[in-house]
Amino acid sequence: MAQASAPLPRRTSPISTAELRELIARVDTVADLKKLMDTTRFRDAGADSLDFYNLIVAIEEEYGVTIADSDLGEVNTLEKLAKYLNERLA
Amino acid sequence: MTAFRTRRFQSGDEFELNTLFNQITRKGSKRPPRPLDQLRWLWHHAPGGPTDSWVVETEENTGWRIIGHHALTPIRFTFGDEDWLCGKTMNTFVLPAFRDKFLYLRFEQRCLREADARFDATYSIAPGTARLRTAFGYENIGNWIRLERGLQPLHLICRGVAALAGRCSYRARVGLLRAFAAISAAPKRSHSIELVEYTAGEAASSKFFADFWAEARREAGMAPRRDAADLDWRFWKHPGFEGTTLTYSWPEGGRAYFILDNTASHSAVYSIVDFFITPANPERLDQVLDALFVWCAHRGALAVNFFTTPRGLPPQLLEVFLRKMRPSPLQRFEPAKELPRRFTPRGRGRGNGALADWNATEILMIL
Repeated sequence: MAQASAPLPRRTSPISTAELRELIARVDTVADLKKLMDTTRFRDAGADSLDFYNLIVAIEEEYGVTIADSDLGEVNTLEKLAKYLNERLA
Repeated sequence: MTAFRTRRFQSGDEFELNTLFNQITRKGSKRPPRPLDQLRWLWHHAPGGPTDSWVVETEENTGWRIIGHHALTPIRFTFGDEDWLCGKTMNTFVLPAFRDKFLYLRFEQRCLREADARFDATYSIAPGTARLRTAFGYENIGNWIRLERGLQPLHLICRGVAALAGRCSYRARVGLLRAFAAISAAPKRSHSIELVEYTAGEAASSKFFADFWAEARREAGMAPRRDAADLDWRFWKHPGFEGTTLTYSWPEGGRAYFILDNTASHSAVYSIVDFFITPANPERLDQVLDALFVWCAHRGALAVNFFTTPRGLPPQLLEVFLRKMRPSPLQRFEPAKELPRRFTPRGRGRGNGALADWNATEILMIL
C-alpha cells in the first residue's frame, strides 16, 4: 500500500492560513470556522475525521502535495499546516 | 513524528488483532471476550473466500505494533439468477490514542481501492460511521430497527432487575435471568402450526435446506444467500453460535424458517437472527410468527427480538412484524445503527435502478 509521491509545483508566494481557511470553507464541513483560529486544533473547532480527510484531499489536489501518514498528526492546526506545505513547496 | 506503516493482514496477526478488538469492544463490559477461534472462523472459512484484511502499525522501541485495522469479509448475495459478492466491513478501528495522529479514512480508501475488483458492493453495520463513509460513495439505506415482543407480562421488570445485577456481576445477571426464565416458562400451549425444530448439526443436512435457496432466491430480491454452506458459516458451525432452527412447510407449497440465537438465552431474550418465507405471504407470516412466540414462551423466553431495516423486507411482511412486535424501548438509549452501502465500479456495471432495496435480515449476526 505504498503512497504515490506527486511532483511539487513551484509557487511564487507562500501559502497563508487565510488561503487554507478559504479551502476549508469550500469543502463540506461540520467544523465551526468562526472558532478556527490559526493555532486552534481542527478537532477543537468541531472538525471530525471526514472534515480532515476532505481537507487533506483538497490540499493534495490544490497544491499537488502528498502528506505522508506519519506527518498528519503534526499538521493539526492551520498554522502548522501552512508551515508544512510551504516547507514542502519551497 | 509518529511512524506508521500499513500492510496486508498476515497469518500470525490473529492473536494481536483479536486482543485489540476485545480491548476496544469490551471496554467496561462484563461480557466474555471473543475467543480467537471465532476470528479464525470468520476470516478463513466464509463460502465467499477469505477475508481481505489490512493493519496499521506504529513503530515502538520493541518493534512494530498494530494500532488499526480494516477488513472486508465476503458475503455471497443473490439477485434473482445473478450471484453477487459483497464485502462487509469487519472489526474496523484505530486505537483512541492514535485517532489524532493517523487518518483512518485515507487508509480505508486505499483498502477499498485494492478490494474493489473483487466485490460488487461493500457495506457496514458499525454504528455512527455512515457520515464518515460518504467520502467513498457510501449511502445509508436505512437505520436498523429493533422490534420486540414480550412473552411474559413482567418481562421488562425482570430484565431491568437482571441488568442492575449485571452492573456488579455478569454471572449474577445470567443467573437471575435463568431463574426468571425458569419461573416464567409458560405451560405448553398448542398452535395449529407445529414448527419443526433442528439443532445446528441437523439443519445443515436437512432436506428442507437442501434446495431452499434455489427456490426462494427468485423472489428474494437483493439478498444474502441462504444456501446450507452460507448458513453453516454464518450460524450453524460458527463457534460462537448456539441456536435453534425452526422450519415449516405448508402442505400445499411454500416454506418458512427462523434461526433463533440462543447464545443469549441466558438473557432470556431470543433473537430472530434470520428468517425467510416463500412466497412472501403476510397471512402465512402471521401464522408462523404466532407459532414461534408459543415455542419461545414455552422454553422460558421473556421476549423475542428482531432487527430489520424499513426497506429490508417486502412491505406486506414488514407490516406484519410491526403489528405483532413493537420497537424496543431500549433502542432510544442506543446510538442509531445505520446500513451504509456502496456499489463498486464492478457492481455499478451490473446494477440498475431496481437495486435500492436490500433484504439484509441476518447480516447483523456476524460479529
